[in-house]
Amino acid sequence: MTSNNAPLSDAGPPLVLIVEDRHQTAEQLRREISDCEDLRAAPPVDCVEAGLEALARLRPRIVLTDLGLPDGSGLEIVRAVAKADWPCEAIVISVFGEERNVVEAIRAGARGYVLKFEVLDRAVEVVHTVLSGGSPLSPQVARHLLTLVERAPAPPKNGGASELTPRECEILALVARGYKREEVAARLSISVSTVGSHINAIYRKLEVRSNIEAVARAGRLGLL
Amino acid sequence: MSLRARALQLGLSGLFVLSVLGALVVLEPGHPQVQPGADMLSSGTLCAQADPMMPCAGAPVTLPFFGPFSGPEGATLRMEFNLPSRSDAAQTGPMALYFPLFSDGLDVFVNDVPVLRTAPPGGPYWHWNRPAYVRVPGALLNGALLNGALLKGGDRLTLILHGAPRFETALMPVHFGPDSVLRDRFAWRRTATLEVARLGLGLTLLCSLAMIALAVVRRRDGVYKWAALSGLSAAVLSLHYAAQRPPLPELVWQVVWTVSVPLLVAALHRFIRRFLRRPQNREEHLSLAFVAVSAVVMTGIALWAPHYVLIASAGIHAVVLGITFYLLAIFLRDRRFTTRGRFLTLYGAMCITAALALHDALFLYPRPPLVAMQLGQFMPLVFMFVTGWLVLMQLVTALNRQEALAGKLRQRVIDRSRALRRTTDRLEVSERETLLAGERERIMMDLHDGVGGHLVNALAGLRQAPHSDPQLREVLEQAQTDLGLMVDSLYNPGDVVVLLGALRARVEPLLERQGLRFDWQVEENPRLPDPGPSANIDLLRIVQEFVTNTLKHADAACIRVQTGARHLCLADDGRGISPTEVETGVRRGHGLASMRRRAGRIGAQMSLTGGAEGTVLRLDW
Repeated sequence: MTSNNAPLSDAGPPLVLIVEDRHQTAEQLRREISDCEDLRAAPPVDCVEAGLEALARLRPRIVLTDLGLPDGSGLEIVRAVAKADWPCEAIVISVFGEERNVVEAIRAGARGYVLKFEVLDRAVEVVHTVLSGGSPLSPQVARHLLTLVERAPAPPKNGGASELTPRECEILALVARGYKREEVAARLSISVSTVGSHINAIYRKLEVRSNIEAVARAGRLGLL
Repeated sequence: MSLRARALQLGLSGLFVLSVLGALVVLEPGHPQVQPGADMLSSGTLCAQADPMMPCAGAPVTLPFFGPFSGPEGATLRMEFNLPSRSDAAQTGPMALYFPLFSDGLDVFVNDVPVLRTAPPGGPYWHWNRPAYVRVPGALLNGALLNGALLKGGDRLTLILHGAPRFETALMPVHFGPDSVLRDRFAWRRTATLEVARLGLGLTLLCSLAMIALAVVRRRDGVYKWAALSGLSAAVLSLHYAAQRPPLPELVWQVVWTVSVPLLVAALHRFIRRFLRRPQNREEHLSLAFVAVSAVVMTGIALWAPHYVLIASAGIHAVVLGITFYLLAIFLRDRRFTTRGRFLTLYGAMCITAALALHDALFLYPRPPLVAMQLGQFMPLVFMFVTGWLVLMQLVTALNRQEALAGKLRQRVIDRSRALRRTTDRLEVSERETLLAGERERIMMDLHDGVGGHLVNALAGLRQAPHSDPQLREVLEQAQTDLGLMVDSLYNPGDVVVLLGALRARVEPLLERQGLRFDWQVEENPRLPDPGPSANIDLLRIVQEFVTNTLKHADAACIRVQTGARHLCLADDGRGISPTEVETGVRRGHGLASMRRRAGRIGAQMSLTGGAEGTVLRLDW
């Protein structure tokens, strides 16, 4: 996935595919995106099967997908997006961020995990963040990730890329406390884009740490 | 330990032993006395020539008689007695001769006819502690022959007394009377001497075998080998009293049995100390060393000065007696190391043994002897009693302990089983509670997913409708936020700042639509007095209510949220609430009262002030 490159399949504004079984929600999302001049919205689909079909046919730049779909999990869409041979990013929209879902979505390759109540007002902003190479991160999701990091065992000395740096943990903690990117940047005296790239790194690392969930579960069960 | 105390204990032990000895001397078992219906011969003639075929000429002799010590070949003496005539011979039945004690061999002739030989001609003579008895055929007695008429000179009893080499010859008064009178006396005497010695021999051998077996089976105890050794010594001692002839060549036997006595004392001493779990002490080594010394001395004397073997034996036994007294004193000192009953039994048995040994000494050394017979044959029996009793006691103790242990164990198993059952019950309860909690959470999530999804959907629909009811939208948004807050607080029981962060994410879209913004100063995690999901929800609701009020009434541009460990401060920059409003809560409807109620539940003091700069709500706890 080379997110910064222009879409290869289509000329014109990036195409956004919405996979959502609640029609009013899907329609509202489509409207918000269509209202934006530099984005195009494909007709929403309401199930996994249709989503996969539309994905292959339309080759969208962005896919907004719900997790709980009538015929399966939106994670299948996320995985399909991760395997796409054109630049394409998946953003999960869910009613609430249950820990397991968040982790699975990120592991499956989701670029962002956004709660529905947020996305109704911020769909365009979220899509733009992703298009510009960033990752949306809500306090709820940040809190989950923070918990995971805290539960995971101490990293080996040369554990390297998969462990979060202190700065990344700091940013995660601030986001979990409700600070917005700009506020985080101000508090840490760094630029907003630096905060964004830290958040990107957090996602990437958590994706790499494929066993993080197992580790976290083991920690919770007292096995570690 | 002071010398005085030691002397006291020695004196006390001596007193005990002497009391027992005194009792024995007073009772004087075996002392010569005339048996009713029988005659006791205590005067006769000691013939100058031992040959019974020669006429007897010599000096009168009185019984008890103790002759001089024999040479290496032994000694032979002849005595003649006149048997008193019995006028009642026809009624009393057969007559008998009873010799309670003599040393060491006896040939008996009545009217020159031999009636008894206690040993084959030429010996060995080894008959020093037990009686002899013979029925005199009526035909031999003149009185009977002449049908009651007195014959001049009467019946003649000739005794040839054989002394063992280096021992002295001795003869206690001889009884002559009806067999029916003397038979029982003889039987008792024989029982008290030979049979007791044989019984002791058998028992000590059995006991030794048992102790050897115990020593092998329970080698790590290291105690029974000493019991076995003392048992074997006691067996040797018993054999000395029970044997009809020397079990080994006579000199060798003198060495063996002499040494068996100090060995018995030393081994028994060790056994008792090990048994009472006392450490090794100097006395144990000394008594064992004395065994070695006496073995060497006796062997040397038997080899090079056999004439002194009896004296050496007596000397060694005298030393052993001294050692025994010393050990008795020590045992008295250490009485607290065992139970009272055990101590008294052991100490009593040891005192009796010492008294028996002293009693024998009184027979063997003074002339005439101070007591009538030896009682040494009883010593192994006392030994048997001591070891047997000790081992039995241990068995009883072990059984008691085992029973107690088994009881304890049983109780423990019962207790543990109960505890286990309780734990299982508790676990079941807690498991059920955990399951219920998980289930509740899942239902909550489902509710949120379902209802939340519907709410989002409804709100989305409202937005698309051109003339939607703003109030409806507000209510739906509030419902959505409420639901979200509940889920958030369920997920974050402890972390208030994270909940505030989640709250911000949920309410900020509303604020933004009305041009309001947050001044977010969430620093320290508030530590509520009674933390938990309920307190969290109360706190969040207060914040939510404040935000709603600001949105509705204040016309503000910014809401500041600031936290500390023990406070939460909310402030807007709009039209401040008036004191009347604070008091009556009129403007803000029910919200104010509900905020106060929630603050009370958290355990926080709420202050609400309004002014030109806006409204400030502060919670302190």
